[in-house]
Amino acid sequence: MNDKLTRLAPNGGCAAKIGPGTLARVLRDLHFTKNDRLIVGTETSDDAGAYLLNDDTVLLQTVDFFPPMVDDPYTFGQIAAVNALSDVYAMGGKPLTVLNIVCFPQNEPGDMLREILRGGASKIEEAGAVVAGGHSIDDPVPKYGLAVTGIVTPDRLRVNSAAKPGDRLILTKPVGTGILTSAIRGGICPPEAEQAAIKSMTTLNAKAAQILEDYEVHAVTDVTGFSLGGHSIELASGSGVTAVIDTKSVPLLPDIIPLAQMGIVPGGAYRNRDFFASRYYDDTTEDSVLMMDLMFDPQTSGGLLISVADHDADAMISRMKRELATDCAIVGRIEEAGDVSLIFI
Amino acid sequence: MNTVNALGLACPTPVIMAKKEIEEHPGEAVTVLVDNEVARHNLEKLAASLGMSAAASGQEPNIAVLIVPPDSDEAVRAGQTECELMPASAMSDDYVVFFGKDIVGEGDRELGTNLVRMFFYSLTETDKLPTAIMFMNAGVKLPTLDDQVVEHLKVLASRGVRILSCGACLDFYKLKDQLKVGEVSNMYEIAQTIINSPKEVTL
Repeated sequence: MNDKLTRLAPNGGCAAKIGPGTLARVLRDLHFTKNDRLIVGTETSDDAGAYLLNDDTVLLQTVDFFPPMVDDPYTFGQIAAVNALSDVYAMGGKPLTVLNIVCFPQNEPGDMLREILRGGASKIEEAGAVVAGGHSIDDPVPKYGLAVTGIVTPDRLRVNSAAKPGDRLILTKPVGTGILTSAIRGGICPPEAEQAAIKSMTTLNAKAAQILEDYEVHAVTDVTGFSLGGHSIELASGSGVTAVIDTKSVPLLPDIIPLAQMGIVPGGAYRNRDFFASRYYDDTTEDSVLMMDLMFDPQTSGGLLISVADHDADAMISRMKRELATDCAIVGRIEEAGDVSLIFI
Repeated sequence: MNTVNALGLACPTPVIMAKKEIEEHPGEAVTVLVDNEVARHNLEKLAASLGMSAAASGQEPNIAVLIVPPDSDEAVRAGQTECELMPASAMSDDYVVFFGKDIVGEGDRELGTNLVRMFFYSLTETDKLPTAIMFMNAGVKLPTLDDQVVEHLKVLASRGVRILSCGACLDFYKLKDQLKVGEVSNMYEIAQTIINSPKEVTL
């Protein structure tokens, strides 16, 4: 049980995602059948698929699983479940049923796998969803996650492609989990920083999603492997606008600045920055290399990125600061479309 | 010199191994062998955070990053530019080779093409390798279109020689997606490389 879980996995968490460039090349020539009831499909790189069941109900479906990024199996199970459920919250929905997806080496002790599933179950229960089944594969590199089914009414469906000029951008969790999980794997993460990262990654986005219902919100996405920078670019380009992120206002997990400066930067951060290179402009005046490492750090179970009408932004952020367990902030604004989708200032 | 072999190891292990080596041997230079660009960038950050200089040579999957403390003899040589060339093999008699066209000399084209292939073959047979070979203007046709030259360049690259092709020139000849060896560079880097090398050879 005290065995290091991460020793079995060369890449952990959302840092294990196939790079956006590679994925785009693979998907380029694949054409999926169109269906009028599929109201959110693959085109806008949204968080979950949305299918109009009837006039009152939209079916939301999403799947997410990855190798461990922390050593404690119970914690890993919690993080993987929270991360998978997050996509439904980002669409404005409520998760109903989940299926466990498990890859695990048969020759490893079974109690480790049981702890992973127990951790996942604790968060599924907290989300008010139920486990309807699952599937397991014998695999040398452990992986765990969920396929999640949720519902939402059509008027409450939150897409990532309807941000409007004048909106403010709110982020509901700090960034830096990619850097910190790399440091954890390397055995050099300060304990307080590790605890802060785990607390952030195991916090459901349910509360944030519930709060935003009370305000004029135009677009929502959750920040995961493609980083705050990458997901901001997808939100802005899908909406036909330009996002401006004030890098100094982005909430950060503890110790990520000295760790990034000494070179604990995951490969995913470099892949994200390269892939999105032509779609953002870096107008920061100091520590530009460091800032870009932080802005493109791949997140595991990150927060919601919310594009809210300017007149509601202050009220929403003060309520979130009171009610959320995670560090949240107004991190930028939406402008009319310019030459690039994202400007860092 | 101390060497850390981090080939085949993913982030963050190469950085942690290098840091440990540096802390155990304060004031000494260390060469870290890695197989990917991410590790190279991260080692350069590590060096900067410790007030040391880093110089990388070679390319994926054989990259050597030399990290030297300030005020050492090596630092004087390695620290002049942000990304100077410093293969562990050839510390003295450093030279670079510049190709501004795709043949050797003036005159008959066929002869010039044969000479250029023979030149690169001869380089692979010599002990005294250049630190870098740079291609500009029609020279960029060599690392893209000439299969024989490409083979020789690959041998040289595997032995730590940097192969730099001018990006604007590749664009001009529409060859950017056909580069078969080495990296895309720019005028600034090529100029710096020539200026910082004791000797430049142009054919």
